[in-house]
Amino acid sequence: MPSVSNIALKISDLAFGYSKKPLLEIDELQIQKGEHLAVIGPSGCGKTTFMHLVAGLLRPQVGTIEIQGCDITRLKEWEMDRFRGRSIGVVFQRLHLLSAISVLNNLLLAQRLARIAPDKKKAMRLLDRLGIAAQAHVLPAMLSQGQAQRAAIARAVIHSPSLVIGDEPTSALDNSSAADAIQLIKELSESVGFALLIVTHDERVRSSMDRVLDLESQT
Amino acid sequence: MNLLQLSLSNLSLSPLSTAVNILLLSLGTGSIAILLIATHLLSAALIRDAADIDLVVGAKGSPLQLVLSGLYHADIPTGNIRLSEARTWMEHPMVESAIPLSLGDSHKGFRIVGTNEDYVDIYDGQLAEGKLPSNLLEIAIGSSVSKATGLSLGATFAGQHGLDGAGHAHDEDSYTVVGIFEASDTVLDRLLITTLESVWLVHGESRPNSETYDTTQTNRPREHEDVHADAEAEASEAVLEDHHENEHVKHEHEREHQHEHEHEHEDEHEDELISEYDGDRERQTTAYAEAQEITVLLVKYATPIAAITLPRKINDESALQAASPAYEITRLLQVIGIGIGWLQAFAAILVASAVLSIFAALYASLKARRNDLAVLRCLGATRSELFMLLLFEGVILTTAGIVFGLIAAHGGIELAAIALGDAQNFPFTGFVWAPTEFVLVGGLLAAGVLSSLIPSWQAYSTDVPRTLALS
Repeated sequence: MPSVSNIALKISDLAFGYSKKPLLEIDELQIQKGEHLAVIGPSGCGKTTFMHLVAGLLRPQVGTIEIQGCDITRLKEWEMDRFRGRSIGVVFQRLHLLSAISVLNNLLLAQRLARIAPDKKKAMRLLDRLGIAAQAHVLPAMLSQGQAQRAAIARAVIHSPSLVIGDEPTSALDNSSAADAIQLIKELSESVGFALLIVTHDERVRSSMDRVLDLESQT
Repeated sequence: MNLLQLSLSNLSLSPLSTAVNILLLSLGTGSIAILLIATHLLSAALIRDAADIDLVVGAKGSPLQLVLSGLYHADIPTGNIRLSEARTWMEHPMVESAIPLSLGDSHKGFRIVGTNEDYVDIYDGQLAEGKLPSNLLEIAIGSSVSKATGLSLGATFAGQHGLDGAGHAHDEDSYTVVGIFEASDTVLDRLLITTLESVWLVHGESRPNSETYDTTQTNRPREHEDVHADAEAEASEAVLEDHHENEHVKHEHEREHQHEHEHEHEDEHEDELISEYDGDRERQTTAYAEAQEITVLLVKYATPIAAITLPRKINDESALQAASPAYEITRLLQVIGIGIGWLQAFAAILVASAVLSIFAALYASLKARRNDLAVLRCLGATRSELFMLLLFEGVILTTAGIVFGLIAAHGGIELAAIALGDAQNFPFTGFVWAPTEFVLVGGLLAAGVLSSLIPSWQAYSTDVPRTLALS
């Protein structure tokens, strides 16, 4: 039985649906710090909905979602926004770096929204580690797909969250880039200590995770 | 990097749209600001130059022309009036003070005014150099006149008839500059002040033959000693001629008295004769002045009731015209105000277009940035922060438009003032802030905020899961 302080995510008796019929039901799920979980399932089974629930963007009809011991279903919306900024990192399918500001400023803004003091040196070190320090001051539109994915990963982890959620983060990448991205994010998870939850169709990703949650089998 | 910087970055992403929006708002703001500043400067100058004068009395004609020519020196006079006729009103019990002005000549576009020291006093005129004119053909010049013409103490020049410089020059009677006034920011800066007698002399009126002459032709009570001294020192040729006749009469009179009262109190009688002689000279001196003409009389009331009765009395009971500067200037500003109102309406349309353009730009950028807004929420931004992000963008555009518009308006006015120099009837400067500009700035900021409200609210209402799902 893992200690409470090691649990990054705990879901209990969760049910969510857009109509009377629940789309998603999860009785029990726990992810330890540093653990990597792949969430799989056929289209329409609720993978993205599951990700939104964990990120606090949707509220379940019943059940609890605890992140680092905090039941996010009980937080007010603005409290959830702040909590998300501080404790959760998100990597999107289409990357979604803010196009008006440089790569470095994307990272500094994430720090600011996490309510921590912007640390330019830390951001530069991270970009250097991901091999895109030279692109720190360019706009995202100037990056290649692979570079943009690394920048998105950097932004998701710059504030040292306890949980990083990825929504199909490799779907737009070629095999080589996808493998690099997964490798990078796993390395960062080990060094920073965050739990990793990746929603994916990608067999390459699935096979590299510690555990797999098949949502089809849950409903 | 904070939300304000992010707003600036967002605006810099579409520089052309941002520049056009700012330019549009600057044009509207600048146009309205120029009108507000000009109105403010004109009103301030009109009030300042009116110098609390209650009534301008002059020849019949347009009352506005009388006020503009007599008080602001911005129009040609309506004509001349006899000083003797004006005297009736100068000594009226409802009049506290009355200052006569004799106009008609100019030097290089600046008006020469024959008057007395009281005129200088109503503008708190202070001499930077020299003295006030006291002798014939002495003249003191305003600071703007000095700068524009280069005249200095001791310089001589001949006045020209009229104001446009096309009139004939009075070459036979040159003025000598004896004083230069400090700048007072009043009409005095643009005038050349001399004595009434000098103007009469230049215009070939029967001239006094002496060096000096009484320049205090106001209704102020004069001391007997002054009159006596004037009579001693300032007797004109005409007066002297009259004096010979009077002496003859006086001697006749004296002989008669000697004959009739040969043995009665000779010393006492001699004193009476001297007194009578002095009185004659005073009357003759005054008679000389009374025969002259002045252009206007600037009157201050002794009592508020005078405002109701005196103008009507002058207009009804004399051949003169009385015009109230307050009334005429209000009327003038109303007429100007109609034109200004149309211009302001046009400028307001420009501003409204600019505000709508800001709304359109923000709304369009909002649609293009829905994903960014959803991502910001995922990064930890609250709904309120998204609202503020869009509001900042609207306020930044509006503020930039206001700032550039005001700089253009004030800078443009200052450049125009520099270009026109001192040769303006109403001097102006761009370094002035009209109180109504506060209203303009407040109104524009409010309009900018209003134009941003709908896009801001839509940002606030962003449905993050749905937006991310659709992206």
